[in-house]
Amino acid sequence: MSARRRRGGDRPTRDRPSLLEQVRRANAPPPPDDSVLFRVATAAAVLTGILACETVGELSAVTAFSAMAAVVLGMAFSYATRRHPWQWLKVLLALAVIGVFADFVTEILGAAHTGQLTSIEVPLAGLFTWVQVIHAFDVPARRDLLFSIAAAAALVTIAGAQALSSGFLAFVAVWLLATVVGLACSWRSMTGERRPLPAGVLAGCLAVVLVVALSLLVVLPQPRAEQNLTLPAALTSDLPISGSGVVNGSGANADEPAQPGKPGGRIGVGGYIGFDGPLQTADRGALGDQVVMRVRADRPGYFLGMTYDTWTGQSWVQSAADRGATTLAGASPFELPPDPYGGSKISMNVQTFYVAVPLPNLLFATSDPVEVYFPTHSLILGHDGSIRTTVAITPGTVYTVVSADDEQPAAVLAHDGGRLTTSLRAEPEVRAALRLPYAYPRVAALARSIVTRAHAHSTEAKVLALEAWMGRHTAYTTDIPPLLPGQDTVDQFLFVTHKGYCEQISTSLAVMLRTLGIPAREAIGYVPGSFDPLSDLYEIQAKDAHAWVQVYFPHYGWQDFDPTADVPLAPANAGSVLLDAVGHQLAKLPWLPIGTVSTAGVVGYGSLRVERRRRRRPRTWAAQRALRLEQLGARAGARRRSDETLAAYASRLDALGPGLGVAEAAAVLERCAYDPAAPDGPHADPAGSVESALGRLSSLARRRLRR
Amino acid sequence: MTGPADTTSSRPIGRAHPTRFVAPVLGAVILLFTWEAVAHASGSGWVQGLGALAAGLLLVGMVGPRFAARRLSLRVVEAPRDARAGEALVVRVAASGPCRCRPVHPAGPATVLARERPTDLAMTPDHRGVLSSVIVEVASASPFGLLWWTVPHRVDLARPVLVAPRRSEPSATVRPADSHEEGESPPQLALTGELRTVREYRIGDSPRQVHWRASAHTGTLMVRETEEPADRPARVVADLPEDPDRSELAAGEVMGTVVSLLAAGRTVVLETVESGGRHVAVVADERAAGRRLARAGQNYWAEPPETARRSRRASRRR
Repeated sequence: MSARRRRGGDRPTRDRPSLLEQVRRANAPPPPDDSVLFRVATAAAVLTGILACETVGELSAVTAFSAMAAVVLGMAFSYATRRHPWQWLKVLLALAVIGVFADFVTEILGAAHTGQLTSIEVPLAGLFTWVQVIHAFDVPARRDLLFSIAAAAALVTIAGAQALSSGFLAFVAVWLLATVVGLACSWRSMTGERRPLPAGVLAGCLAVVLVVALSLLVVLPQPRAEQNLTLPAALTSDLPISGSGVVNGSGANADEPAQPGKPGGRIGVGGYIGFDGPLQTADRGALGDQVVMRVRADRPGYFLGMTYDTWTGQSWVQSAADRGATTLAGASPFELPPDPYGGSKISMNVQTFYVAVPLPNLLFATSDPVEVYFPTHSLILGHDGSIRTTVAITPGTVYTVVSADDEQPAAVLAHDGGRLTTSLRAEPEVRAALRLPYAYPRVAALARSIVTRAHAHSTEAKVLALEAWMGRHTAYTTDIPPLLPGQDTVDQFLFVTHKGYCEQISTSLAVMLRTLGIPAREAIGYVPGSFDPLSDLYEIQAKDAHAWVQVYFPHYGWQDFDPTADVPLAPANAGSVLLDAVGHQLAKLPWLPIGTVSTAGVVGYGSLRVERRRRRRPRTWAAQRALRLEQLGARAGARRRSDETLAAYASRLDALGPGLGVAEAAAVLERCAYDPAAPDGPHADPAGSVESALGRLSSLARRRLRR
Repeated sequence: MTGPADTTSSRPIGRAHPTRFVAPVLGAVILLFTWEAVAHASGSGWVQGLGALAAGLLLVGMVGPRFAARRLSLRVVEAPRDARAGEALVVRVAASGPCRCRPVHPAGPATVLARERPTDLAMTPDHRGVLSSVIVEVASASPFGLLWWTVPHRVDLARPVLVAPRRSEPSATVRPADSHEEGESPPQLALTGELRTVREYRIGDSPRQVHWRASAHTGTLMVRETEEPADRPARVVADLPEDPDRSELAAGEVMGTVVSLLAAGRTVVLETVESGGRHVAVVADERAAGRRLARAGQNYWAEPPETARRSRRASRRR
């Protein structure tokens, strides 16, 4: 025999099972899981996923609530039959799953065949939901429940792909909690642990998961819309707009945020003045925080709605709105005519708009849109580049515009000589952008003096000089009284009040430019608003409506300039400025992560405190009452010494007052603690001497405290 | 025979290491990359956020067990006094937390333990010897059960378990009780048999044969003379080699011999070399013989020199 020591070989030899045996073992039914909490957590995760899909519109309400009821029923059925699953039911469920898959494939192929396949999320949501429903009837074991948890994560993710608002966070929170509890129950089920879930461990796990997730979100690059496989577009109404090429509200209700202004008074204007009819600069409606639409865009920019070319002294109007309007017939996507000044395009900017309130039949986009995804058969392209629809834009409408951003760098524009040839001046568009209702001698003199002092020779230099002057000499505020009839907005702003809002500031720049012979027009639309990093959407509110100036460059076309950006806020009192500054800074903080982490931290800390207190709490009744006795004694002024037995301490307490009977209680407690034959718990003290003594000691302590 | 053991906690003797981690880790990485790809394909930050949460869950589920496993400890609740090589030895243990426990030295099947719930841990010692501690692999997948992390532990037994050798065929190493090799003093046997007569002392008689009463009566030193005993004790010499395997075989043969002699009704004197030196004594039954042979020669279950490394190697091989 070999002399080699085989000390490491003390493993019993095992015969390797055959392949058939391995397959049989792998397919053997696992032991049933008896944990009710595990099933409840799993069901909660699945129901959250289904409800989330319903909320974002991937499932109809009927489908979602039917599926939810079926999941609950299936889970209860699985629990009841977990020890003796119905074998024939498995066959039926397998057939049902095959049917659901076949339906999914048919739906996808059908949509692809008709060219209507814009999103795979909706069929996927249906597929996962019905698989969950079917699976819920056969989840006897831990492995099956874990599959449900994984599928619930897929459902929530599918819903997340379509989520547009921060409200989706509620679903994520519930799903996360249910998943963590479910996974923890799974582990306890593996080990046969029957004690309740430790809250501290759960809170700690949640806190770590959140910290890891937030760290990853900080590190990972933000997903961008340009990487979309399909560009979304959807209509929720086919209400036709009366009048071809006319900008019109949807007509759905009277309080549309972008309805024509009603300059009868500052209150009750109802929304942004413009987007139909004249743009009043004499007064401004109180624009609220109502979300108008959400935009997913590669690059934020000024989302142009339309432009005005004719200035009347107090309002802007479009001269011959129908002039040059082109009807684009066909089907989505619509290709727009190329920009005649194109050639030095920077890059494509894909913007998807999710409309939240009724809007006028304008499609917003950053400058120079080239392609529009909108599910109608025609669009109207205005001469100013504005895009109008022939159907009403109602909540839920989705459209995508691809723009070729052509914002030229200052260095490029600086080389444009700015000389308008006669033929260019004859262009109706340019001619309208030079027209003034009357001579503005003071404004013209001011503009000339500004550009002269700035030694500005090119168009771009003149624009920048005027903007700089306005930044130094005027201030932004919405808190000014409406103009009186007959007053000129520009005169009042430049020479009287020196305060105004974006329409007045941009109008003043446009008029000054026109007095210098530079074509300029008023542009209105929306600024991007706040960005929600979770939904990757810019949230545009009614107050984000904005007006700026478009200046014509002979070689580069119309270029955006925003003088409001250079104009500082009007000084108010120091307190309000300070509060505004603080509020502005606070508003910039990422409150969602801060709130989430803070909440997780507070919950985790609280749970740890509770757990620690629970651990420190004496286990036995005798030890608990002895501790209570010590606490009351300390309150009564006699703290127990470290070298003092309980009996000696009780004797000392008895000396504090007559008839306390603490020594007798201490004897009971010591017997209970140290005599193995003595029962523990209140029944060890049938006479109630311990509780009576503690009550008397408590009264004594209160009396002493009052003194 | 079993008896209660003092509460001795186990102690880790190696680092925590993941078990069968390639598939779960690879699966998690693929899943997260897919998730991130879907997030970028859909352009949705929510999908990325959910993926980040999933990554957090996976991280906690895969790294958390390392810390849980390090905190685990075992204590022996009950252990037997005797065992036999090749047969199951069941030790009742309790764990400080839920875990999976697999005896490594001696080897045995894995058993799942709930927290503080005494559970039988079966192992099969394949050598005789004195087992004062066992080495087990304590594994945890807490808190989510996604990946097991294992830590080798040494669990001290409050009282050593004497592992008797296997019983083999009897060997020819049996000698008569009074036979001895040259240079050795004859064994001093207890007196047996019927008293035949009393005679005077002769040189070479054992002092234990002196009949003091007759000596006092006659005034001469007298000794007893007895009939030949009916069951003359058989002397079995356990001469065990150093090689553990050969030693095991030899011990098994000795055990078989002793058992067969005992079964034949013979009195057996077993001679062994134990840690205290040569030991010669009558063995009353098989258990006593097993205990003697467990202590004889080199102890296989003494401190293994490369316990931790071997345990890890064995784990990798699995």
